[in-house]
Amino acid sequence: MTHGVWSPLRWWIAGWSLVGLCACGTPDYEVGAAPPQDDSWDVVSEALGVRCGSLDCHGQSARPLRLYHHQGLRLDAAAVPGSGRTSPAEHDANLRAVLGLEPELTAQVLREAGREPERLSLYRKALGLEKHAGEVVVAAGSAADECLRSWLASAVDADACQAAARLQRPSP
Amino acid sequence: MKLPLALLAAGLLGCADPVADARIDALGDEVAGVAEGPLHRAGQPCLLCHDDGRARRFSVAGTLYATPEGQVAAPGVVVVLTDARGSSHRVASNCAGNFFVAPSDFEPTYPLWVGLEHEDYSIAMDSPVRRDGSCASCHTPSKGPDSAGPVYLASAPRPNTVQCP
Repeated sequence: MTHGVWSPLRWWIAGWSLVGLCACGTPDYEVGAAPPQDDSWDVVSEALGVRCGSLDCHGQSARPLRLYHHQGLRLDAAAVPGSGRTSPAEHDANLRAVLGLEPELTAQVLREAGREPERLSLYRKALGLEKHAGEVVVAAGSAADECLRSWLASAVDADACQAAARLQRPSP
Repeated sequence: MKLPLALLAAGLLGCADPVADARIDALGDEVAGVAEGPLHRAGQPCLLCHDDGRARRFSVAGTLYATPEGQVAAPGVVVVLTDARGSSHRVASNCAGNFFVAPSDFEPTYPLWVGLEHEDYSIAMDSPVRRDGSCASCHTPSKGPDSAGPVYLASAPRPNTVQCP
């Protein structure tokens, strides 16, 4: 069997070489490395858990993006939804889940200080820019939007994230 | 001739939902002595079948209990549903603890907030329902890391635990 000038194997090698070149210059966000330890992530994780991590959405083990939250899926087998607080281990697991969804692309967006966050599926789906079973869970320009954007820019807006984690129960 | 048949087969196969089918099969048969109807399959995720395909569609449905273990039904409890637009609907549980809402009566815009009322007592769910109108999709019979257990009234007064006719 003959291929064109570039066989699939050559494209695969070239692609990973490009990833390697991109990764070499920015050791902070190497694909596959442990996520950066930063307490500011917890407020982002909390907002994601409130808005995305319900048991009927991303608080399900089968989801590609699995999120833990004290009101949703728990990491500890002894914990129950609706009790206690989201644990540090759950926040860490959420960070790994978010980074692991599209690791190379997320690393690139982080390296570029959050420029064009719509490159990420997580962002597009949350804002309803792409078909999403949960529809729009983050309104453009909202506190939740600012929370996500600020995290991707490595300058977490804690006030925005805390506001994003507070859901307003509508008045009947 | 082969292509149209292949397309027909593909279309028929595409209509099946193996995930939903497996979940329904896992629910088992009807409980002996309880006919198909408003009193049946208490505690099961109603909308798995009540989706217009297998049975008439409900927008929201579930079962309420008087105890955390989910062994005693809670009849006559009012479920208060408030959706993202502020539209509200009230429905009461029957003698099996079941309640169900027809889409023509209330089709919520998610997220959906849920509360329970009985006599002078009321309680609200801390977090909203995001997309699944079956209470039992999340409130499974057993408490664990992925379920808070059956929906029950947290405190007195307990509803009268009458037997269904």
